[in-house]
Amino acid sequence: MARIDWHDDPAAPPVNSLVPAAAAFVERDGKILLIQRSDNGKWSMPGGTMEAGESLTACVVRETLEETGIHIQCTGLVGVFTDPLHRVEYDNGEVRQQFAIVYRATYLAGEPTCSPESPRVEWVLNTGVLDLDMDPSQRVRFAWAIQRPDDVRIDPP
Amino acid sequence: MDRRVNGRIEHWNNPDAPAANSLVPASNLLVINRTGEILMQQRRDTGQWALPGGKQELGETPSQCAVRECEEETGILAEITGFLGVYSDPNHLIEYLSDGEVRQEYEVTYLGRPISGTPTANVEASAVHWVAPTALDAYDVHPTMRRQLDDYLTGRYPVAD
Repeated sequence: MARIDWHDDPAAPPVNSLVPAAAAFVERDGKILLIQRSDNGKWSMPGGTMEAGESLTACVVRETLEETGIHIQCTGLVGVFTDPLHRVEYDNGEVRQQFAIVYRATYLAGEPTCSPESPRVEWVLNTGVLDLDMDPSQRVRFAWAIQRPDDVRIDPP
Repeated sequence: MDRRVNGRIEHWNNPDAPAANSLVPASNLLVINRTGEILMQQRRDTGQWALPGGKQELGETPSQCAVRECEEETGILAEITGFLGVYSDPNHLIEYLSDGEVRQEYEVTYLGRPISGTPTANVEASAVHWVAPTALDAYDVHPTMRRQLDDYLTGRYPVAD
């Protein structure tokens, strides 16, 4: 399914969806786990939307395994990342307000394995992550996670 | 455990509860005043005491939601000072008998301090109190809400469910 990211754009379609979502900042020996997304070709953290019957941490563990082949364990919070002016439009008509909880996580097992959602899965040196082609919302998350490891980010008032 | 009030049943760790069919982001605000008291409101729908909070609306951030709900439910305008945690226990469900919605808990709880206003009962809250931590046991608080209060009082946060 294709997606379009709208950033503070008066032409953006109205929001019709707000769903709990989570992403994982997975660090191992100075490298960070990234996927290249099939829906927009950009790099991002693994993650996805929560399903009924699971907790948010269970969601992020499941999504990371599905998208990367890597088993992880959540160890803490990077923070709350939301921007009502960032809307994600899908070709089924959903226009979702961007909102994710980002967890810190450690590697447990597995090898990077591609999926239909993630044609590339790589461990990237943390000094090179911010140079990759990514949506601005992803850059904010990686920058906070790398540069402020002791602070939980709260969405701005 | 479940609790049935006014067309709303709150299930917690109940193996016979219906399956969740709804996930709605909600925010709470734990407001602490200068003497260390916590702002609590008595819900008209269940009669239990709770932190102010509610469903996040389209176009607002979760912290804006927390501040808005707090002012609506308590009369207190507050500002965010910190983050308590993410609470997403799949065994905490709220069943609405009118339309069959079974909502799974998903709450983001912030810490805050009061800026202005006085505790005021309203259409959603029958009473609003500043509660000293030592007085909490005298209040009827749902265990899932009590857990959030205890996480704050024991300093075990941020919580990442």
